[in-house]
Amino acid sequence: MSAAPKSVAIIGANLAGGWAADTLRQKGFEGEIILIGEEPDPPYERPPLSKDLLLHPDEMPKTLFLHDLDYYAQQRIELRLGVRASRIDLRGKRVELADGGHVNADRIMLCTGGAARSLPVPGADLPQVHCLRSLADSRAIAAGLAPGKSVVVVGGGVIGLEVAASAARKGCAVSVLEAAPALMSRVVTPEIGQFLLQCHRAEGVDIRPGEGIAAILGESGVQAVDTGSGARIDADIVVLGVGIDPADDLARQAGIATDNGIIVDAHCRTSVAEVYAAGDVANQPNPYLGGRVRLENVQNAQNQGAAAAEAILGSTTAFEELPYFWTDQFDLNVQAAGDTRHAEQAITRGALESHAFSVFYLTQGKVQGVLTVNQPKDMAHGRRMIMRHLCPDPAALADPDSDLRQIVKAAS
Amino acid sequence: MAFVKVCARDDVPEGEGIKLEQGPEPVALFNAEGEFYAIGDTCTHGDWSLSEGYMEECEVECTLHMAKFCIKTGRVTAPPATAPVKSYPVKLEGDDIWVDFDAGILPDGG
Ligand SMILES: Cc1cc2nc3c(=O)[nH]c(=O)nc-3n(C[C@H](O)[C@H](O)[C@H](O)COP(=O)(O)OP(=O)(O)OC[C@H]3O[C@@H](n4cnc5c(N)ncnc54)[C@H](O)[C@@H]3O)c2cc1C
Ligand code: FES
Repeated sequence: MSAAPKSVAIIGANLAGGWAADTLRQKGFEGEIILIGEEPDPPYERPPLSKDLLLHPDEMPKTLFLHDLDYYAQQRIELRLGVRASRIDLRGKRVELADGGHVNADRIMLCTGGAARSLPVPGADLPQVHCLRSLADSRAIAAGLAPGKSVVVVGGGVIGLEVAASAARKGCAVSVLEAAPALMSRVVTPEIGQFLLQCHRAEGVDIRPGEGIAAILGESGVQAVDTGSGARIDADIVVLGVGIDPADDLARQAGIATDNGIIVDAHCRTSVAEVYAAGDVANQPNPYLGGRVRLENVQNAQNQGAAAAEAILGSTTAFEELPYFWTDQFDLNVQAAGDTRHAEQAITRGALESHAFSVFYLTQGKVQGVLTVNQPKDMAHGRRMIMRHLCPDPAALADPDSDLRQIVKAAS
Repeated sequence: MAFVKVCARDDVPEGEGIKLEQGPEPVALFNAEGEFYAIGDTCTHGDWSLSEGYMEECEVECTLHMAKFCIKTGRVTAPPATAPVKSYPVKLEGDDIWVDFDAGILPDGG
């Protein structure tokens, strides 16, 4: 075991990096903490970017930023913002910066997240074609949303559907192209995808599953989109919600093992001693999903970042959290935990039409996933069922009048 | 203002919270095995009612994004929240619960 660190450089100043820096200090680390971020802003939460900030771009959500700048000064967390880390020198234990500077550190943590994908279609470089990852992206999209504008969203995943909902609420004419047959198919079952599709259609969104994009048309600005099946849709603005690529290039150049993100163990250690990784960029074994996964959600970024910080300080506790995410679309708050896609049995509690229901996913009687729509408290109970490996009575689960706390107790 | 009678003991089920709106700001009142605690009701992360939260031992978990607060002190015990809520004095008289809405205090050092 090497000597206790005197300095930690964190590359990537968003959720994982921000919580890691904070945790180092809160857990008593007295040494230098340097948080390096390419974006000009200190760590902030991205969820409002596709929700509140598109609807009300002038109202700052009350907790957009993790902390204000004074906090970092008080905590002696050195922020190096607006600059990209360009190389990691493992031997020299230093991080080189694109502005010619460098940072020396005993430990390096990679929290570089992901970069929104573009699409190799004609017209993708027109000015009204946007991805959505940063505050700047959100502001650019918000500026283009107004009643009567036509918006084409490419991708019926979480981000695409949130943008579609916000744009529809703003009075835009919205179309969504999704190449797969179902919506949000990476994270929910086809049944839930179908439920979301109906909700979006009921709100006037033109959702086209099984439809790709062939070209974006326009000379100086976007005018229309040609779909894969040959249809033409008018468009003033195009938003690409086609996923992210993990920002693992720095790691790769330094010879750190990568495979769909940076490979880490249960303690967020990379293949190279004294280099750690966390957040959207990290690919880690997860006991609940039965293999390696690279998760892209707030809870993981926040808690894995904190866990990596603790590991640097010598903690030997493995990070083995139940995966969880939420999305808000129109008046729907959707939350999901665990594995909702591979279960033998799905037990629905409440009626889908009521827009307030929960689904418990069981395999051999054991709860392995839970999804709630406007029933956030059911999620609190459901998560405990998964974490405690409970086999509750399916009939009781299905009865919306039953008391989930009692069900948890009875099955414990 | 001083203590105000807010409800009867039976109005707050064991292990649950209720929202009180008699004061200047909403307050969540919890029943932890017959002990009653009152803290600010609005989660400091978003705008969600902590009385709707999931209570376990002496913590309440916000059901929107899982921040946790200590129901005795208002201190944050799990992210994403970073700022605490106030805690309010509670007293019991017979079957009645009284809360002093003017005497809410933030925990030391957050
Ligand atoms: C619009 C939107 C809405 C979302 N909504 C939800 C939601 O409702 N619920 C949910 O659970 N999750 C949501 N997410 C996902 C969540 O925001 C991410 O999981 C989280 O931001 C990941 O944090 P991270 O720190 O790992 O990575 P990122 O957020 O990607 O941050 C990485 C940072 O590192 C910087 N960086 C990268 N390379 C370098 C370098 N070489 N040098 C310096 N800096 C570098 C980047 O500029 C970036 O700021 C949403 C995401 C988006 C984009
Ligand atoms: S609103 Fe309570 S945790 Fe987000």
